[in-house]
Amino acid sequence: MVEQTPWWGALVLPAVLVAFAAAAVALDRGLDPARIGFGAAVAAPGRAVAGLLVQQRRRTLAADGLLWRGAGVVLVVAAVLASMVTPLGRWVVSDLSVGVVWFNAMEIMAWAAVWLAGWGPNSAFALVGGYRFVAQGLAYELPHMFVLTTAALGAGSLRIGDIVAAQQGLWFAVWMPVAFVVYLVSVLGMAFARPFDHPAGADLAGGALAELSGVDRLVLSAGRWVLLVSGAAMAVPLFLGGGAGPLLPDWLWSLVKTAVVLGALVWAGHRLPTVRMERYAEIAWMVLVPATLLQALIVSLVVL
Amino acid sequence: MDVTGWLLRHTPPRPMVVTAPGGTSARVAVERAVLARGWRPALNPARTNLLVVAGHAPWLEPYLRRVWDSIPAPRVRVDVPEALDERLLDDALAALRDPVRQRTHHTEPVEDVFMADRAPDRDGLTLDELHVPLGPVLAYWPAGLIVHTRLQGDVVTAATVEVAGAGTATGDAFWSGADPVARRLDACGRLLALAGWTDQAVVAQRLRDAVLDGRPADGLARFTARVRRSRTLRWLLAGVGHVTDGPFAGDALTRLYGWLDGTGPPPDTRWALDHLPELLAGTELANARLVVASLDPDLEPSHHG
Repeated sequence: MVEQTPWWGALVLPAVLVAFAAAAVALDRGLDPARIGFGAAVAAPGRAVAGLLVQQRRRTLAADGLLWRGAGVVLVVAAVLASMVTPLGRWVVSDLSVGVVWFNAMEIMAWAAVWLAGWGPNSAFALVGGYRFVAQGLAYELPHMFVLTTAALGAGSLRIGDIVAAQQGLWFAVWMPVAFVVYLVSVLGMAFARPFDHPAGADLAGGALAELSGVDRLVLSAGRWVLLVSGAAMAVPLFLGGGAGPLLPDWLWSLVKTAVVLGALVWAGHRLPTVRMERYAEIAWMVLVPATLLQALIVSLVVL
Repeated sequence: MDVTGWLLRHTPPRPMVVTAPGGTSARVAVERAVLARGWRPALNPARTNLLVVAGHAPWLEPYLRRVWDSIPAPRVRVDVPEALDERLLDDALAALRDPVRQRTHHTEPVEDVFMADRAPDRDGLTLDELHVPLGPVLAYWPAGLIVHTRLQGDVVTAATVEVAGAGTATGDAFWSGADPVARRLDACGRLLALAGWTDQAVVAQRLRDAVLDGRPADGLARFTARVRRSRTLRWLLAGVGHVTDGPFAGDALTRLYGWLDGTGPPPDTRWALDHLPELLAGTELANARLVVASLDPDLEPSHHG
């Protein structure tokens, strides 16, 4: 059902992810209430890249340069590696037998990346932004891991290909709705995308990203958007039946479903104010952890 | 091919607006022009390439120099002392995109090290404590206000208030001649932006500009209903900056609703300045910012500062 691509699949993957990230940025700008128009929104990602390429790299006093500037690289690499196990139609770069675990392990590198970005520049606001991301991770990660486990339970396998195959009758999103919704919420959390953008909040003048400029900022922002794309794309094989669908070829179904999930996530970010962990952590631990555990229990009883 | 020139020509302007006390009229004009041109405001020196100074205050200059020194090239400074001539922004854009004018300078790291020592935290553990000033150059912050905080992690353990340039608490004369609805919408916009609801903050700004122009503020009722209806906002602002009595009785949410309904709270900068230290002590930095925005202190420049 899912087969590994030749070696060049690993080169196509980053290009696909970056294309989706650019589209997400364009949509984000298009949804802005400043209403810049369709053409300007489409041009926005390219112009942002141009602006950052020509901008000087900022230095701060007594910064930990290596860790600070390395943060963006870690984020990009982790986001791309996470998608190595995500199938596009029937092709996948690497169909690991522990695909779900691999995906989760790569995402968790974001914790280190964002914390380093906040800690590196030796700046109070950036540091507080880094703290906020650690708190955010503690809130979203447990429910997130439980929903990944739930999808794996439903298929009786940690291999993404098996999870897709197990949804031939019924999508997991239909009979594991709680897991699906919590998965989407935690994707926003891990990419610290709106409304979970408090680590880079306006009240901290940009928080963990406050001191970054030029190519350093470009790399970190790219990592952030690619991570959002990675998360959105993984929702398709985990919950939306992978490439299954009528008429269209399976790779196109994968792209369409990913675009819909990504669009919904970006759109949601415009509808809501920033969620602070000081409030959210309580919901995460008192509501989402029990709810996702209960969902896992129900799923394991069904497949028994 | 001249790559640098090409990149500069495609660089989006990212203005960072710094307001001096008494600079409200310039700020409003700049914010309006920025929105109309579809430029995205920058929150910090690292992100900006267009430092716009609204109003004028000699005491602010040293702060502005530090900000300027920490802005990476390409960069342009624009001073808007009072009324905004749109040509100022056109010229700034041309300067930003001119490779010759952007070529020469290099920025050096700015000395931005905060004083640090140790003190017991909320749980009695000895923890690092940073002395971090909030303002006078900070996005969505009242012009002319400096709050000196002691920070442990992201918790404000103590705060003292300084009114820079020995300003007074009577408020910017700009608002005394304007429809009070406009001022309330201005405050709403700042609070919503800090709460991370950028989209509705922009709507508030648009409505403010319409009211200032005397145009019909289409959508004011829709905006009010929309913000009041948001359960998420209610959940996020309830209990923040709770005050039992005085002009601001209630929390950040009830003060926001008061602005939306036109019932209050009335601006009372004196009260706000007097009570900020006790309201901020023990809050998280995020809440401290929301508290200040929900009291919306408005400072008049001193006439000899």
